[in-house]
Amino acid sequence: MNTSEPLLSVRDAVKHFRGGGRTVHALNGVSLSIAPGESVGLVGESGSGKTTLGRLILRLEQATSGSVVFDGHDVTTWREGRMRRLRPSVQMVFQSPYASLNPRMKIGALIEEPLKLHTALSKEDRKKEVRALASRVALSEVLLERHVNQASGGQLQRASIARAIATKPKLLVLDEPTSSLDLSVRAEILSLLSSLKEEHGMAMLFISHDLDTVHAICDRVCVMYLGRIVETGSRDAIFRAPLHPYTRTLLSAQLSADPRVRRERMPILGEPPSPLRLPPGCGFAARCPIAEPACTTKAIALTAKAEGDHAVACIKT
Amino acid sequence: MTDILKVRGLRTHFISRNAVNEIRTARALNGVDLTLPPGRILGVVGETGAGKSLTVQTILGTLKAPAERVAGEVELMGQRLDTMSEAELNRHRGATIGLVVQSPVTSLDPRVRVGDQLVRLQRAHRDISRADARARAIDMLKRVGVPSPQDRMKTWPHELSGGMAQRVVIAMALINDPVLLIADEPTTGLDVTVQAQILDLIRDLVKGTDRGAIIVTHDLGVVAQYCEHVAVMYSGVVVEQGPVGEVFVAPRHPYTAALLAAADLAAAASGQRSLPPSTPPNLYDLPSGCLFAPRCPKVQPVCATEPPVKISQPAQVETRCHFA
Repeated sequence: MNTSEPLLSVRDAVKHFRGGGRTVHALNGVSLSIAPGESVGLVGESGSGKTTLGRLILRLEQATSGSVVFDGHDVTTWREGRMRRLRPSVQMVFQSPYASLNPRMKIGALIEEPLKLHTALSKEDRKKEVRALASRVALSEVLLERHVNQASGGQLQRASIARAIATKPKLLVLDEPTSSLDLSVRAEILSLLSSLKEEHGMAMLFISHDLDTVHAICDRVCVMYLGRIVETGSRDAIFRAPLHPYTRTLLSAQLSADPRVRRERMPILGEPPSPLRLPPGCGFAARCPIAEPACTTKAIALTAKAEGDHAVACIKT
Repeated sequence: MTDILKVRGLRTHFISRNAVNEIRTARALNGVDLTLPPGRILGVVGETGAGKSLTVQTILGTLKAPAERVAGEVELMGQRLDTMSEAELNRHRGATIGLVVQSPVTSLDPRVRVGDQLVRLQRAHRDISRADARARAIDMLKRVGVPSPQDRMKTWPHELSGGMAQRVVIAMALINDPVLLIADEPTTGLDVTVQAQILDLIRDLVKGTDRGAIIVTHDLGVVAQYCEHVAVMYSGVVVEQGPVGEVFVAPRHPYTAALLAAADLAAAASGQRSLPPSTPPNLYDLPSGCLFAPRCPKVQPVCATEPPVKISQPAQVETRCHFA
């Protein structure tokens, strides 16, 4: 574990959404820390709370309880005005650039916007910086004069990244940044992100349901299920020696593009439980092939395993 | 044994007029050949815009203007589909041919309960009593892994989760016992564990039977793990086709090789470039030679002038490349 002060530290984060007399238990006690320059992958299926956690870190959502400390500031209860001072150092890239980029602005202006808001650069210097950013993300200068509807998905995602790194953030939160892209474009974006990480020492929280993508880019992986982290560890620990039955199920369901590789599949039973009614005990128990009666009664916290920072929440391991 | 499906030289164009009334033609399919033997799953792969879904629409005869099939033949169990009337085709769609599309939401009628949709679809194609159709519907829901199928018959489409809705769509596609199942991106957007369940289901339905299935996907893992045959598409052409164990292990076409290299994301992230970062050709102004030539790492002068013909390789592989 990195002994220096973490850049981000989330403690026991709980987020409930109430409405219509019902409560969605989106996050049920999540703790996570990210060291400066570290890239952490957050994986899990739809509804596991990945995106809610990302939004909580950016303070786009207010935690029901728990705390978020970023770069030495406890931002848990900060309001938008105060948060604005920190915005340059924590930025987000969203899944769909079509939904997150203003279609009425030219791509050059979109990249310039954060520079306008957060720096004191002159107009000329800003233009120079926009060109430098565009070349950094391999976006041709011709595109700077185009609108969103005149560019491809890959080009727009490059523009989103250029926009996000314009203020030289310490942490970049990426929510499924490559899942709408074709394979060859996805490969290019991942290559870009890993070189940005090397050069700028930027920390990343990479939210994805695609394990291959996370494997390609992250130092550490957190696996979420039903609003909890059920396993966390280094990339090699999670991919080579997964402990939690859910992690093992997920990994065994990954389809290799090499027809000679046949993985033995872990069976998975039924459907994920509803976040409206949390089961007592382990959230995965009802679908787990090795569950025993104790699993359904007693909740279990993440417990460290002997090897490094590998931790798992399962009484059977 | 007769092939389930045989597609030869399919060409589909988008024909429109521009602002000054000149005719403009986008050549979206440029001679697609596909063969599907019984008991097999054929994977059709390629990137966005390669013409995968358009191929499906052309096979089914569901193209809408300005798209138009300008050449090519489609044979289902030796019977020509491309010369059939709309009424005849309608007897096949939903009966001998089952279709599963990416978004289950668009294939289910939101105003009709799940059970009623399954009953109606049967009664539209065969002489069957309501009670028998109901019994078969419940049985089919059970087969596709819908829990407590009896209760689900009364469910409205909007009450289903994504994975459950896709299972219902598959039940609809299979209820009339089709010879050919066409699944266009059947698991895109679903979680990996649900994806595995759906694909297992398709495999179980085809394996060892006289039925066949086509899975259209951009996910090479789906093809590698579930399909026996694969057709790789680029710009409306099948550039390589053959057994998955051959094509994915020893690709002969440079585009197939590049696509497979891009699937190795770990290598790609470390900066090993798989394809030159350029866009596929402009369909309004296609190059005269090989369509992949402008991006091909092994391009030679002849590639820019001569379109490559289909070459039969050993082990049932066919390629369209001068140097394969």
